[in-house]
Amino acid sequence: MKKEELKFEDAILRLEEIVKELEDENIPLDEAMKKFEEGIKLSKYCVEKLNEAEKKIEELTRTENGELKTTEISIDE
Amino acid sequence: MHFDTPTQLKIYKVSELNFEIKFNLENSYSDIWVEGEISNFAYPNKKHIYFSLKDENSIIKVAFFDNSFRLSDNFFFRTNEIANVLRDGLHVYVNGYLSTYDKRSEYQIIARKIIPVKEGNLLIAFERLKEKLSNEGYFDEKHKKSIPILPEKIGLITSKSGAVIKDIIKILNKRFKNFHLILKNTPVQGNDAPLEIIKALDDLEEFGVDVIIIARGGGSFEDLAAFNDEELAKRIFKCKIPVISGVGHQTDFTICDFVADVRAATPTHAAELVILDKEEFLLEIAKNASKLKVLIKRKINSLKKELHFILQRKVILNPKTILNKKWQIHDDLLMKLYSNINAFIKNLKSNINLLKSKINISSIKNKLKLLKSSLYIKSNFLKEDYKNLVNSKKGEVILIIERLKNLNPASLLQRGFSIAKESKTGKILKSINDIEVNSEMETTFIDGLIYSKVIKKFIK
Repeated sequence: MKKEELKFEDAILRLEEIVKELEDENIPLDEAMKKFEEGIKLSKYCVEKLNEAEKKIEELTRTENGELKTTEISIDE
Repeated sequence: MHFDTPTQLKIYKVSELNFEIKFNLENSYSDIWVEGEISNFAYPNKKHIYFSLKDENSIIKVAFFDNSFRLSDNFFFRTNEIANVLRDGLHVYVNGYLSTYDKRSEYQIIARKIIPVKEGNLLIAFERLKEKLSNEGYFDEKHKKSIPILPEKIGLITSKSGAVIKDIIKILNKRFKNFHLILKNTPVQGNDAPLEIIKALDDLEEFGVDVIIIARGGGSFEDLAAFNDEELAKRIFKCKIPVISGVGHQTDFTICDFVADVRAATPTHAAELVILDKEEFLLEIAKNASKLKVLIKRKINSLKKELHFILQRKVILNPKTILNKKWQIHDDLLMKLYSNINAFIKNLKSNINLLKSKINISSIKNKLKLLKSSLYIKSNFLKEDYKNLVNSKKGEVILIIERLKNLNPASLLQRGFSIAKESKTGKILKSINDIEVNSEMETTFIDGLIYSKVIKKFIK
């Protein structure tokens, strides 16, 4: 997992937090707008994250030299 | 016959005695383990179990009642499960307490647990290891790592050939179609299994996955023995990657389960725990995003209302604002005016431009030229006329000057007239009434003056 990237769970949590913050009617408009934009960005990011990966089933083994290698395998359901 | 009643001695009633025996037995043997062979096994009404436990020399009765008494452990907790296993000749451990059946003056063991010795030895080892690791803190909550909800790579330690991997993939497909699984194929039973699973953990840790599932299908306690290995437990504890244990059935507990970061009831359950339900999350995200939109709209609308309210209120509260408002109206009107004027001018300009475009400029220029030249000619004529006029007027003027010259009194004198004045007043005498008799008068002639006295006047 890349460390510099925003973690999915953090993004989800932040998104929920922003929704809660926006529910507060006393929040100033410019702040609300900022939060709104951040929230929309986060939701897009989360959807991207969910669709990012490709389905892959690999088997992890060691070569004769003791190096790790992966081989794609198919498992019948 | 007569018997002396021993008045000093305590006389029991039978039931009293039996009760005391029961009480003492139950207290003295409240939690015991007994080892022996089953004989006379009976399971009447498929409810309670009765048998005798014997060794080479002795025998004791055992009753196993189907009631809620039994504390569930990972062994049998229903009589029907035990009944399937127990049979005459089986060597078992029985745990329970001693009691009496006072109607028949018999004592018996009321069993809580019955464990076949073969499995019993494993269980005892299991209990010991569990207690030891627990005391050493291996199961402490504070060491449990949380599982990421969206792991990029899922490590799976199980047998490639079993049904377990198929079940797990089925669930993953249902929950998150684009999952990435890294399988470590290991034996999940037998003496080699613990070491192979430890190696698999090493490999997955080195390779780098986000979460590891250790899975195995259901089996007997003996079948699951690999997952009660101390070394494996310690390796799982040390693993830097969160581990989910999904071993056996719901009712099976292994050391692996206790030490893992998360215990799943079954392999399928482990697959459900390892990754989020994608559709559910997409829905959740969409819900949150639309909530955001609704909230910001609501915010803006409420601000609009507030603003409206404030504008209305301010006028009431502060007279200055009325003035300001008037000023604003004034300024507005002014600006409207300006803009009207500007529009008017603009309109005008555009009209002019329109006209300009309609008019042939060059023809006008020519006309102007023509006019100019005719004007020039005319002006020349006018100049001539003017000269003539001036000349003729000059003659007239000379004539008039001559005439005017004649009107000069001096010229009158030249022509023979004289001017009479009263001497004292200098008043010109136009009538005889202008002077009295005996008054002196002065008469001017061209060449001098005569002073005289009025002697007589005659009226003509």
